[in-house]
Amino acid sequence: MVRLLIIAMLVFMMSCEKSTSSSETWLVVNGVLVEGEFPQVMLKRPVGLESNASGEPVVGAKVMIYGPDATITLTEIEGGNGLYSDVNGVMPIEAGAIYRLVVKKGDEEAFSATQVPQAVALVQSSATSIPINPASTGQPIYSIFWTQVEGFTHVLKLDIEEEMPEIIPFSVSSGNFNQQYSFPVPGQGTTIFDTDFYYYGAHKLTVFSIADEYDAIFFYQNGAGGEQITEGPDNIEGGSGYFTSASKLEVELDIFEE
Amino acid sequence: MRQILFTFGFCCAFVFTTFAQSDTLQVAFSGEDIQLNRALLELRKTYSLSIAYDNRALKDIRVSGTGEIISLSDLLTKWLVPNGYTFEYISETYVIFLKQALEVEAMDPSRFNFSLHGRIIDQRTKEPLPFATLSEVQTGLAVNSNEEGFYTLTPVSSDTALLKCSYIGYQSVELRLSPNVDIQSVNIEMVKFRALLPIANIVTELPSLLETTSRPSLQTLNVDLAFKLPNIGEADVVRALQLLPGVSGALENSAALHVRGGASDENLVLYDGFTIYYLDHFYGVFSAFNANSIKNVRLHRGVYEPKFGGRASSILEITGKQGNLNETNVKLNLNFMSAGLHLESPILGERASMMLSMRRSYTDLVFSAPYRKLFNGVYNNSVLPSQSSEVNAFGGDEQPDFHFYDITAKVGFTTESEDRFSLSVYSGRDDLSIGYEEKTIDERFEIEYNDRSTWGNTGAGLNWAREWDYKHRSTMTVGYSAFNSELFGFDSRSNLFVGTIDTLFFDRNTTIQDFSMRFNHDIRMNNHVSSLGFAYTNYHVENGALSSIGANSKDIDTQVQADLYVQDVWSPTQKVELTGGFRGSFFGGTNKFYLEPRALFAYNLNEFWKWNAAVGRNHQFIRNIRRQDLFLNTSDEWRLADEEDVPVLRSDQLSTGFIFNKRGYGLCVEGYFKWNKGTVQDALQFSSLDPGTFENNLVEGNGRSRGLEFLLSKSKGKHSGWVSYTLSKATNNFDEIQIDALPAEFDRRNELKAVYMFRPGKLHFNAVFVYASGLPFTPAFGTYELELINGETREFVAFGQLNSGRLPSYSRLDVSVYYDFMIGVGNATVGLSIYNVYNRNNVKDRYYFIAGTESDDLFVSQRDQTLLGFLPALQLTMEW
Repeated sequence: MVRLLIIAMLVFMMSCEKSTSSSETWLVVNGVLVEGEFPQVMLKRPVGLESNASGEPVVGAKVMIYGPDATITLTEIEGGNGLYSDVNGVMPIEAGAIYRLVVKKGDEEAFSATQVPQAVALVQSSATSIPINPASTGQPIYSIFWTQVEGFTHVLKLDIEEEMPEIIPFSVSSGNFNQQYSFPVPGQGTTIFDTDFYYYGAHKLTVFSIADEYDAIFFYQNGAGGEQITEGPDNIEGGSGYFTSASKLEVELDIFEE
Repeated sequence: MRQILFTFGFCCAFVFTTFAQSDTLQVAFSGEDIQLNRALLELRKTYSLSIAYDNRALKDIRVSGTGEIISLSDLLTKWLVPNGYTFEYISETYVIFLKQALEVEAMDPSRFNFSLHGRIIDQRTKEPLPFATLSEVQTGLAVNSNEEGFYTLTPVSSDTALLKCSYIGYQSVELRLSPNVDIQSVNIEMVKFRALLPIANIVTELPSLLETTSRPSLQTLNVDLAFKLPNIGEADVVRALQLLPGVSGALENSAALHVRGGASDENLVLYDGFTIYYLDHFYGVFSAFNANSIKNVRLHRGVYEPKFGGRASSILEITGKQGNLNETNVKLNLNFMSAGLHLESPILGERASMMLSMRRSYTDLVFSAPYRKLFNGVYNNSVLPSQSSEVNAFGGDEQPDFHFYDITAKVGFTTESEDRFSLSVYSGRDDLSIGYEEKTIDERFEIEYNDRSTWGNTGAGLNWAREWDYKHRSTMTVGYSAFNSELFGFDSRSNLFVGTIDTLFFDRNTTIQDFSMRFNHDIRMNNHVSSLGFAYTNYHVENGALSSIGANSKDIDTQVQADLYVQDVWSPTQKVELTGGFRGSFFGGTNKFYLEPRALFAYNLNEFWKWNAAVGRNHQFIRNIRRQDLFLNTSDEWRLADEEDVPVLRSDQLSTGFIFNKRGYGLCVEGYFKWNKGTVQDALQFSSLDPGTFENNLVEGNGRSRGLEFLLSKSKGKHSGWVSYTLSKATNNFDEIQIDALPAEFDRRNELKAVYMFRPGKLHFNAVFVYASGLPFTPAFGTYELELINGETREFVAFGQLNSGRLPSYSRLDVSVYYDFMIGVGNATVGLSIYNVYNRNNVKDRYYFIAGTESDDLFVSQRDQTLLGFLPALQLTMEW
């Protein structure tokens, strides 16, 4: 009886269970492979719950990407704040191909995979030069259509390519592009309003066809009004964030005063 | 039918260690034709004597006294011996008891290896004693009585064999058969400990709180002693069950029996044959069962007989009291929250009896300090922690309006043809209306809540039983059960920055109803007891949500379940019992047939050691999923399996262990393995796509559980109790969100529980200590930013793996002291319980919420829901 009790106590003392997750051993991955470009992946750590500091970069990790034809180890960019890149340009991203990610940092491992969407092609662009009347209160000014593979959505990005751009003196709120296109565009085309622009000059409009898994992140909202929060969408096994892909279509636009 | 009544005395069970009768005390008594209990009461008062006796048994005896001075011994002898009683002087107390009524002289046996039939009943109330144990002392052959108290012991070696009958909470009796006994009808009457010795100084054998049977994982609870355990104002059999090994005792929720790592819905709770779906009052502080109305509680853990089915982890079988067939009893209970009345009485002569038990809280009328403390603690633990500060529900102009009640009634009737009918009815309900205001941390919003929440169970069961002959017995139960829970809220939120007011109303409800019919037929042949039966259950489930901000839904599902089973209990030798059989179930929700083979084996190694093993499969078609996104009691939602969103749970189980019992000391060790397929969990934290859709949050997988359970007990003497320890590990695999095995939702690595009971006489001291490893939870440990492809930057919360965190360990110590005394001809008990003596802040769960934003940075706060702290509770019970 006494022996049994001693054995039971020993088992009891050796059987404690501890928490296994912490911000110091958690990988945050941000890697979006873009068709025609070379892979880049950013690795960081989360910050404490009530901290407003930036996440610490993860240095010294081994980041491998398994492509359809080859496997490469990304090079850590010195001073790159956790950025790992295919600096030698040996793995251009191909539309339709599957890429797998393996990250190792000591005992930590993170995995993910993505299939690059089929190439997106321009079907119609209503103009390349767009006259804008600053007195306008908002009207459709430009439309664009592209090829669409069923099931994929598209994200638009507008970049100004002037170094010292001139602001369009609208009398109403303008520069609404980011707000209007913060969510993916579900169809195969869209129409942009004149007040969506903010500057005159050369612009680049990029249409990204994004992989399935990436769509969710644009619709995610943290709990508001004190509601219980949920984890952000991700596709990383053993960490958080995204390893995803996109194909892209770029259109040059010249915005000038009417 | 000739009926031979066996009665018994203390001498066969009690071994008195002190025996010193006082012959020197001289007394005088004067009176004519006085009830003996009254006469003894007069002597107690006049001479300050301590006399212990069965008040009810003695009130029918009339005595007289001339007033002459006489020794007390002579006076008692004069009164008692002619009426079949005697007395002993023990520890300064005169203990009066019934003499052994039937002393059979040694005679030559005339019959051998025959079957003995009869019934085991309560001597005072004539109620049947279900699952009492009758054994032949010499051979160790044993049998349990059935729900109606009937037994068949076979083969009895001879008609002069010595038998022993025991029942938890009752005085064990030994009796010797005689050749002139009618072996077709040997009825045994047993006496309850408390009825026999209301105020005695009991020295040696005392009733134990717990009885472990030789069958695997089957334990019986002494309901009377459950009243003496520390509690929160109400005697609670479910809390007592939580002190068993393999049953989690650290959740402080009477609605939750977590057996061997399983969820609470994996236990089928049968009350007189119908299902009770929700076990709690007051958010789990008390169980919905009024202990006064319960005769017997048996918990079958793991692999159980094929007779039972429908749940993966356990069967909790509760038999209600049938009512006193002899006389009317009244019992009153009072504590700081509620009052109760219990009534038992014969009706229609000796053929029928009734039992009525009801209680209601008066918390809507009187707000005692302990109740306020309890309410605030419970309410804050039940509300989704939308804010960091705890709510003082009594801090505003309006006080919370809360009450609960339950009514249990049973009528038993036996026809002249010996058909036995009983109708049991249960209805229990909780009702809360509350309104309060609070501001958010950033003082942006002022929120006014007006909520009403109601929930409760209603059920009825009509039971029929008939002993056709000594080989055939049939039972049938027709039952109806309904559980409903509804939360209605009308809230307003004022934005103090911009002066706008939003209003919100919502109505969430969940309902489950079932209509069931069960039939069982037992056949006894030689050393076999075979059973076959069927069950039919019609389920109707509704889950609805109505809200002013949309997301309205109403899911209605109705399905049938049909079961057929056959089993055989075979005792090839007196040392071996093998139970085997099959249960087949058809479930309409999946339109499939499910087969459950089961086998249980028990072997008596010798007089003290028993070994048992069991293997079997259970299926479960109805699931209660703990929601993460709601609050109050609506956090549970019942669903029927459909093989799309909610899978059928299949549990394969294997267990083995041994039991040792000697001189009141017991050791029970059992190991088990469980393999579950179709586990399901609400993984809200990982369901960011469409958090408003409950089905999208559910993840489905497989589970594995294994453990080792120890129970070391002492059941005799003034000091009794047990220590139970469970070492277990329960993991789940959810392929949708994780590859590795994850700790199951209710996985506890260690759980140690100790129960100590000390009964020096009229006083009862009791203590309960519980230690348990922390439960798993899903930790959020930080935030991170991602730059999206369109140039935006978003901030997210990083959660660890599902259930990868561990809450702090749990521990608490409860103590209680009770004092038994007499009020006139009645018995009374006053008690003080102290819950969580050292006021430990045990953590129930951990939540995260957004406390505010500043410059696009998220501020996430965590909040621990803590369990009950230090809480004293007074109780008073009176019984006539």
